[in-house]
Amino acid sequence: MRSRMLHPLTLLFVASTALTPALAADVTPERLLNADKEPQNWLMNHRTYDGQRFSPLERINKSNVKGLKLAYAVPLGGGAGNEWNEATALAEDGFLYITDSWGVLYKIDARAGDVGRIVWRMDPKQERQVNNRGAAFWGNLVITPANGPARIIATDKDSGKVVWETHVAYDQPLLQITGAVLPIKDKIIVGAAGGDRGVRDWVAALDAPTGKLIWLKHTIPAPGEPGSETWKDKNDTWRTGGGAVWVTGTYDPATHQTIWGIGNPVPMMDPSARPGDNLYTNSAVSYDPDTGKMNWYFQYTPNDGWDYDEVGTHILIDGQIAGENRKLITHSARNGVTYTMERNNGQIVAAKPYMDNINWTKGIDQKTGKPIDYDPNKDVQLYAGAATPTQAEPVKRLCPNRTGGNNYWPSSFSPKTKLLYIPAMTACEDVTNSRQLAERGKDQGWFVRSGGGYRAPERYESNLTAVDPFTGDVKKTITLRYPNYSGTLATGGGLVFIALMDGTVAAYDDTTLDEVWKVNVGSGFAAPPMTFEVNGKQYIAIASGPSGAAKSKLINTPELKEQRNAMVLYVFGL
Amino acid sequence: MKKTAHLRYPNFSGTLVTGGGLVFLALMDGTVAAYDDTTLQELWSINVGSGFSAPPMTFEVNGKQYVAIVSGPSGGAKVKLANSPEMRDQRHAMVLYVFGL
Repeated sequence: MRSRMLHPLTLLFVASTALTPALAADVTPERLLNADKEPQNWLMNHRTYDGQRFSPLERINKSNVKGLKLAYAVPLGGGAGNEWNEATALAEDGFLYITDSWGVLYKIDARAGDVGRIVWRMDPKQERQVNNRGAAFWGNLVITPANGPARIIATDKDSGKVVWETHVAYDQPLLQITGAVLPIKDKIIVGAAGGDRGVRDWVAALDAPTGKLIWLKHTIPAPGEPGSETWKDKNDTWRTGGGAVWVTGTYDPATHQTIWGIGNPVPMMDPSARPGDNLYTNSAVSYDPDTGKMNWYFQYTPNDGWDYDEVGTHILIDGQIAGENRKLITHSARNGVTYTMERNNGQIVAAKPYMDNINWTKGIDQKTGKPIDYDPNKDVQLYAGAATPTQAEPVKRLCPNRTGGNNYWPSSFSPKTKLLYIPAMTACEDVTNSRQLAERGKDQGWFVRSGGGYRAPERYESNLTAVDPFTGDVKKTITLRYPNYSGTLATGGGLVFIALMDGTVAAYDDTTLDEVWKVNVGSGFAAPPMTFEVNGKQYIAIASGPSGAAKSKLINTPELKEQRNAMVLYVFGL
Repeated sequence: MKKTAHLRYPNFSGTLVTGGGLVFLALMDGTVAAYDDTTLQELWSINVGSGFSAPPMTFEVNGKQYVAIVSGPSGGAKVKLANSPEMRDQRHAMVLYVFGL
């Protein structure tokens, strides 16, 4: 009797080890290069180096998703009210790793399937909460950002003990690190943020085993460096010009380049304070990960006055255009346009709007990728004029609003449907380049931002839009009643998962965009969904808890006036 | 005494007995569970991570029955985990959970 009981247990164990040959093993650079070959795991921020945020898992699929329900929940934080989470959980062989706004890193045992026990926590002792978008694996280390002061911390995966901690604020105390780092071979690529606070941001590489700085390249050139001619003011705005990097880049092993989206120039709302194109703000930049040498760049919105920060993922896609195989990059830009470019050099292949109300430009030049109303001879761009405040008309309506369109909440690409699933905010805003006007107008709903301000006359909602990135054409779009500050996840099961600010988590058919499942957990979401498998069962995991910025998007949503929020990792299964 | 079932975590929440023949309870490890009111066999459970120190209740609306319970343990409840090392890193959240069929 006893041995009969043991027999199936032994079989189970063998089956699970066969599925996961690297059980409790180091996450080597080779495993990261082949992250797509571990479908049960989610080994880096965007799951794979191409940034597609596609999981081939298909046990949860169109035919059975209706039965999806809460498997278990894991509260995070718990030290204060108004906690939030922007992190994508990582999954490795039955364990989850996630950070929170305190910079705390959690290891969670997900093997049981009906409970998620916290194995250990690494607490960097931040006094204040700061956005934190998650962890990265390298060898036996789990590497995370922390702030107050800005740091990168490597924690032993088994013991939860800190192995190294590198302070990276250098001479800029306002600098923050909020994005997950990107491990490439023996290096950790780090983007610096806090740009809107008036710092000069950068991309850097640390030595993975020791945390020692190897190279650091500012996103805004110093006088004399290439691109410095695009900062024409006499007030040294380049020193505080922003160019934040706060979403993890992508990496193409074949060409050994890493592509990062760079943030907006500062002061944000007043382009006349910084005449010139303000390179390399609002750009895609390709770096050599060994040296930090820039391979190429493409700038989306030169001399921007709308906070059209382009940190969002630059997704690597392979496919055909006119019968020819192409290796491309696609980016759903904050400014409302899907840009697809050559992977080798950033040359534009297609650039078409994924929103129907863009008013800041009359369109994008399909050869250059620049707005057709961009004038290279002008120091301060007017673009279409409709959305550009001037001295005579200091208030203009801006569509999409400053936050996008798309933003850090990631789009995903399904190689099965060849479609890009874009979560986009829909409201327009009033913007001004007069800080004085915004300060005086607080009673009329104005909020102050550097160089000006904004107000929100419309209800923020969101679109879920499927775009063919090889042509830029919108294939399907649906409007959802609440902002999606979370992102999209596409799966092999033919599903697109999203979460909304009203507490909804939902799944859509990846072809029809019909809603096929949903649940409401009350708290808003500002973190992306992910999926993993353990012991032959697939799960969907997402952390609730919206940031202050996310909550501000409910200003015109009176039915959620009394909404409360909680930071909880929800795990759903069949 | 007719029957007793021993549970691995403190019940700081209480019991709710229903006409469906069920006894609902919640535990400090985040478990909400239902037991057969005669055999005390566990018939259903879910774990939401946060401990409980509030009682479960039930109600019906539009012909559907729900079981509601709010999570979030008091300090007095949390001290009862002093000798439960596997719960050392447990975190808590105050959330009203509503379960239905």
